[in-house]
Amino acid sequence: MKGHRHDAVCYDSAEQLLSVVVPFLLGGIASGEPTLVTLSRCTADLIRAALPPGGGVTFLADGSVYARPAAAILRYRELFAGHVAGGAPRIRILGELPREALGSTWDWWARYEAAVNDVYDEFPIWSMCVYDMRVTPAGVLSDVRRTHPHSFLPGGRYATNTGYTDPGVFLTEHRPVPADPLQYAAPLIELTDPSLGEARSAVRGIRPEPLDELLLAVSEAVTNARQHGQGRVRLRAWQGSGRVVVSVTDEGPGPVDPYAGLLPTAGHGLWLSHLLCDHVALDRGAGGFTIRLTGRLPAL
Amino acid sequence: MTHTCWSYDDHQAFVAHARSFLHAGLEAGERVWYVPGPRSNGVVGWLLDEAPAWPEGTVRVLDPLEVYRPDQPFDPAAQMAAYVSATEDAVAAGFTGLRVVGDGTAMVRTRQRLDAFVRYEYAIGRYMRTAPLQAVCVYDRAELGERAVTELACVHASSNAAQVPFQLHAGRTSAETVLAGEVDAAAEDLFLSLFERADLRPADGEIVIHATGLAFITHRCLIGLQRHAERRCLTLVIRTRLRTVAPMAEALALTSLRVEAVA
Repeated sequence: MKGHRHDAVCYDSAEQLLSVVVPFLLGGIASGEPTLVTLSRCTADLIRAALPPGGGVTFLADGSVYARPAAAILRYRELFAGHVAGGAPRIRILGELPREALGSTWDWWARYEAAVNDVYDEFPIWSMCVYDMRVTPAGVLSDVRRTHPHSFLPGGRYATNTGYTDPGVFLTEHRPVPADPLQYAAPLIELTDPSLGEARSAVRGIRPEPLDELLLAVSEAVTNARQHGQGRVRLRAWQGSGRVVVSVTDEGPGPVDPYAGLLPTAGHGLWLSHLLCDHVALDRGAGGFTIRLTGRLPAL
Repeated sequence: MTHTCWSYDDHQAFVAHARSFLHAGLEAGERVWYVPGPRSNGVVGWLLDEAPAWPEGTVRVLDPLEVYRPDQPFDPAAQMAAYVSATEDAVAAGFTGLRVVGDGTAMVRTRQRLDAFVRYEYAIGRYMRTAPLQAVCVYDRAELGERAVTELACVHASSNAAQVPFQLHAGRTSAETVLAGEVDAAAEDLFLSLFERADLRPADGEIVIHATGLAFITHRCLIGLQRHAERRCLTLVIRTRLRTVAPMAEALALTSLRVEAVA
């Protein structure tokens, strides 16, 4: 068996959530399928209490799985490969993004939700992604319907998402990235066609000096813009409240590969930036391609 | 001891630096040699004027054609042996060491000779870490061009050229090297090429890169180092303060690299 069945569970009560996911988990155990759960602590407690004693479900409780989309893919693929090598007929996953992922960094998690339809497809996976409709923004729920072929909905309905969008389309369409609040102010740094050294030197001038991870990502972004982009390369940076935002824009269409950044494809630089930065947003606008990098500043 | 690369366009800056460097050697009781090139001979008059004030054999201005023999194939080992012998002679004659300002421009005019001279510069740097030999290696930027001068400057412990992106110079043993500066996409090929030419020899299966002064390196360089290590069946130990090196090596499964964080 191969292929990724990728369902959303959009719930509005604990009872509804349990009515869907408990049979899903118990079914996995009964079928001898590795059954993995990555949930917020609150939801995990709720589900753990609803399961019969004796276990069989593996709770991935370290909280780091959903720190960054590229890291989640890397971690899950390793897990899946291990289970498949161990003879698992299928693997069941119950996942819930942390609440903060549904806010200003949702754009890269939306890309994750779209991408995993394909990137987990080489494994026999049945995954359920749970979203609490009481706290999930409407825009996020709209993306959930576009990135999951089917949804479990309130009232016990299981519906085909008619707006489901092929990942290759979803990942390359123009999805405007909301501005970071810091971007409403004039940039601290503004450079046109910087050399790699000039770009790093300018960002290093921010105090306290940004962490190495952001400098690496900035250098890779400028490298990519110069090597693969078109027209002028523009770097801008903003600083505030313990973090730095750096955007690098060129006049080209952006990476051809829909999965760029999420998978270790091509030159790896964009992927490593996704692994090391606190947030990476990609914006394929009419005026060009912008990569926006966010990094924390070290504590003074 | 000092091993500096001085590439020049500006004669005045070179003359001032060479005079200061040689004068410090005289004051320190060292034997001083000056091997001028056609455009780096601005210290000859001053040095010959100084010579009588010092014991016989202290100062020598050498003919560059005699020292470097650009008409013959360059032999890095023989050149190194000549300087080792000259250093030992200086010490045997009662000097505290040997100090040299030498213009090597004539030696590096072809790609082949440049490659060989880079190997020599790296190797003599190791000898100079412990032996009483100090040198300023002089190159004419106008004649050699930026790329060749940068290549030479990168294998010295220090350089006057602002555009040199990194230094890869000798460690205490042939199993150690020192890397400082920034190796970005524009410098990757040069770095990996110089790393090959450093001719490092593992000790107990390991080569150590002391990279406490490393401010930036790309994952492509790490991949290049991994390939080098795999090809030679060794482990490369990278000692660095950079927070990015270990996670890059882990994410890319560069198992022949061992990254050690240093404070």
